[in-house]
Amino acid sequence: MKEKVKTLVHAIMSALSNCSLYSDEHFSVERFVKKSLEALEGIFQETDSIEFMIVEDDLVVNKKPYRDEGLWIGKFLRKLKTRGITRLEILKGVKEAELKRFVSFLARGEESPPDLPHIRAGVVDIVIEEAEIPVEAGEDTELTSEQIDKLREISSGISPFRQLSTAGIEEIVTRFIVTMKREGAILRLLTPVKTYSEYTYTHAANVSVLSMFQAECLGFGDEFVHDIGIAGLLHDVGKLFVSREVLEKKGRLTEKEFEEIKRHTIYGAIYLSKNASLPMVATITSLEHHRGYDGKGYPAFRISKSRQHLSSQIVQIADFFDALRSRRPYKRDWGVKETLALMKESSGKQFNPLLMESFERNIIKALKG
Amino acid sequence: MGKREALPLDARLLSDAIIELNISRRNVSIYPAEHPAVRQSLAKAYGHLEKLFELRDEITIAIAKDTIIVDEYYLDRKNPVFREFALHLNRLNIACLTFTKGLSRDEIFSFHKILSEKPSELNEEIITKRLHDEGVVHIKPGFIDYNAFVAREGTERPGSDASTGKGLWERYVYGLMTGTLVRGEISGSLSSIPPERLAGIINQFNTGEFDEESYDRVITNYMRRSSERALSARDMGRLIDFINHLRPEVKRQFLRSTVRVTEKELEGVRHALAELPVDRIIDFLKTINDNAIELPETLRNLMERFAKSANISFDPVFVGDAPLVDDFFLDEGITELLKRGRFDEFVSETYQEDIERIISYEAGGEGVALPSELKGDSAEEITRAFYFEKLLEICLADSLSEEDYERLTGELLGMVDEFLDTGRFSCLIRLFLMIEENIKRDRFVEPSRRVRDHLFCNDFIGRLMESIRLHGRDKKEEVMELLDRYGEPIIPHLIEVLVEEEFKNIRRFFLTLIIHFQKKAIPYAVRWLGDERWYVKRNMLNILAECGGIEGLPHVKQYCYHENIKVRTEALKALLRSGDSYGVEVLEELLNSGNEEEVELAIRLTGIFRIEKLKPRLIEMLKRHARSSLDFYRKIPLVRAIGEFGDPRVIPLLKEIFFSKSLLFRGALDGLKLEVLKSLKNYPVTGETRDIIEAALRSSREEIRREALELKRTLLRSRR
Repeated sequence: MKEKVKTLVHAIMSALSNCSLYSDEHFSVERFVKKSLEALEGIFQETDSIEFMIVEDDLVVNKKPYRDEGLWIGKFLRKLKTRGITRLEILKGVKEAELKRFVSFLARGEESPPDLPHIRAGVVDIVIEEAEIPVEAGEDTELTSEQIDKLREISSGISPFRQLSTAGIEEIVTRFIVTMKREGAILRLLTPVKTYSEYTYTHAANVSVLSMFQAECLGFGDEFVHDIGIAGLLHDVGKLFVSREVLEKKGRLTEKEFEEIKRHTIYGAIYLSKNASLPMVATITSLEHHRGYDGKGYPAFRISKSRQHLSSQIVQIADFFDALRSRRPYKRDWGVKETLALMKESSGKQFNPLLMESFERNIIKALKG
Repeated sequence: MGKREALPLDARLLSDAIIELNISRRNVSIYPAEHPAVRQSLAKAYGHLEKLFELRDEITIAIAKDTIIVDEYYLDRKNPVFREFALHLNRLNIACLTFTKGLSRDEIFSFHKILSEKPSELNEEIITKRLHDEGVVHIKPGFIDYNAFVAREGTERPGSDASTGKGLWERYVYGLMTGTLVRGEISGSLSSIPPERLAGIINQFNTGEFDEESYDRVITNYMRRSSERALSARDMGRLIDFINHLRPEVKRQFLRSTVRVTEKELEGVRHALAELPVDRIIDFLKTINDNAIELPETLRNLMERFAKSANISFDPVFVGDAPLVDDFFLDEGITELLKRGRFDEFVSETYQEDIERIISYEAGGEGVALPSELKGDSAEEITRAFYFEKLLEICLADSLSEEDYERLTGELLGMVDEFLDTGRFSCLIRLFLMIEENIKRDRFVEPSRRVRDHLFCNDFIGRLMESIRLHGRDKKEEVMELLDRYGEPIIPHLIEVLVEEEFKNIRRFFLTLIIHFQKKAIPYAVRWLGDERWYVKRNMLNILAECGGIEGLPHVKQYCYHENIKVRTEALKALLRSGDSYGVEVLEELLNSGNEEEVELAIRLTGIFRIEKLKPRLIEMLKRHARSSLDFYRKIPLVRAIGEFGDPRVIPLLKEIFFSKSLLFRGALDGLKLEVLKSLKNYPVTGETRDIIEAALRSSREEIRREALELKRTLLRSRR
């Protein structure tokens, strides 16, 4: 059974990857969906349905835990989690079209799972009898059953999902705070930086806000905005490994010292790559945020001539903006206009002109408001 | 909880016993029963448990994933021993363990022995049976019952507690211990609603419907689980969160209620406050004051006492003159910095205001339209490819340790599998480039070789072949480049796929890939020539023909007379391509064989390979008088083959054919004339060819006129 399940998961994940990379109609998607169905047929010879549950970091398949079962199980688990699904049931009789539709949902990140007759997606929960508020039980309560229904209705109506998709006024604030709170581990990563240099800490927080702001303005979804916020927060974490004397030296740096400072991009990327729970863009951005749109920055070594990732381009703008707007012992804080004017000079060279245009347009609008 | 001193005596003894149990568990898995390390650790564990049984007859520990719970106490979650022991039991699906009086050392040993077997080979039935068989009656495991994890419809926002599963284990264990676990369908309980959501729900109600008791009831019930055990910082935090999210008028009512309820539980509150971050207590006190709620003196004193601890919160350990926070030495300047946040030193008031405006800015739909290439960067698959490349770059960085290099290459190899499924061969090429570069620089040589070995292992290459089958034709250049990285060792794998492949277009593609290796492919193709299947022979002969060279020729000759004409054709092609005279001899023999199929093959190959020696023979055959329509049709391949030579001396003969007439076999003759016309493009333009074209333009057959017109246009174009 275990092997069959692993084959199924591998096939579903491969279909999903191909779907994300190419299109729903790509022949490889169809091929892996067919493979998934073949695997399901094998499973359905033993049972009428297959149920996946995610209990914390474990995948439980038909009430049996699957731990340390390799890359695909881990990827599958993470994918379901990011789509807000902790329980998935596939019933005997499932059709190719249903499976394809579900794979497409997982790949595209639509808001809610499609309503399919043989595939049920939901959430795992634990119910404890006495923990139920008595209003539920109808005892010792003044709340009527209508009110209870109302509670339920409102409860579902204010699902965080919906709240976030409607981009409310406090959305960025909330998300930033929530992110900070929720990503406790990430803050721990930054703690040494805080102790190292308070400026670095403040700068990281500002860059995070400015990066999320840009991503929002460009119309990206919650997941990417969240990830870029983390990337902004941690982009300079490599400075932790640069000697303090060099980092805070006043006056002219020697070439060797400057080389050491430049290495913070690599140090940061190594440091972040060790933490699997961080979004990948954090590592990418840490390495690339000084490379520049024209590719002339550092680190200079490359494996190919590929361009900077979007997150690095965005964080770079935020980084530069905050550096100029901030007050340092050796410089005054620049005004918004002069900062933007200077940045525009580098548009098309250091900065992506499209991103620069969007940043300028929106920041002026935001500050006017 | 967590602090050992806070535990009651029995729990403390058990925590000591668990430490020894974990040590003995490890020893038992490594050493035999008589080993001193095993005996000593078992004796210690047994000693602690024995003391424990003086206090009570039975004790149960519950395992919430990586945490051990004794009665209502969590054993220190940060303690790696408890964590390891908990995870070990969790991996075996054990949710609780009950130790009862009468337990012997042998039972502990047997228990460890059974549990040290491979988790994959153990399950509930096996463990239960083995414990029974070994006479372990005083240690009883309880297993995780996944039926208690129930489903409800819908999804949760990524990152929410429900989606991450946070708290599920604790709730499960709590329910298990209190016997209140509900199995089966979920009731839609409000108890699982997070504080802010519950507050949101209550904010919707008309408060006029509530009286004081209602508020107390909600508070009591929201804390009800807590009242069963000691109030924890988490419960307290949830309560504060809940209150903070209420609208002002409701908030006051609930604050009053909270004060009333918590006043009755001062001891619990003390425990909870001790664990709660100071800033949260200060905020809570501020909320109470802002709402003009009167706090009973005892409660106020208690809260203020904990709140005041903020003033002494920065009290680091000193090593020499340097204060130590965790494992970071801090100098005086930084110590000062931490005591007083000095953000204004960096962020001016106006910039701070800007940041706040940016935070509260409602992004509209006026963004700049990004090209799809950049937009796509937010997709996980694209980001993963970027990430892969960045890891490769890090692997080339000077400042990387060997340990990190091994970790990163491990991660890279894990990702490569995924790229195979999606046909991203360029990622693999880059991985090759990276390891080759490191080997060239004489750094991380051994780990790099291990990566190389992995890429060359049969299992991996098998998956690579499957990926090439599926995606290769769309990414031919990438595949070729990758195969170049593999070099000759990949050829037998390609041939294996070719031999077994059922689809013609994939076979053709694999032939191209093999032929790409040119002479290197010859020995492998020769090896497969002995295969009995005719199509395998044909394909191998095809490879030999396309790869050129003389190495394979001795093996080819024998197939020139193979029973299957397709095999014969390929064998002849191989010989003719290499200019082998034996091939010409065979061809001549075939031309004279009288076997129509063989003659036609010989004519075709003579033309394709322009065998000068046989050209006169073909011309002679063309000149033969046609006595039937079949004779005319037989001349068509001759015209075509002779046309391959483009010899102008043949043009008069072609003209003669074109201007000839036949009353009986007009249709067949027209077919031949059309072929003559088609072949003219291979000859130089002369007066005779023009005559043919002009005559063809006047032909009554449309096909001939069309061909002539096309030919005329081509000639005009070439003249220009």
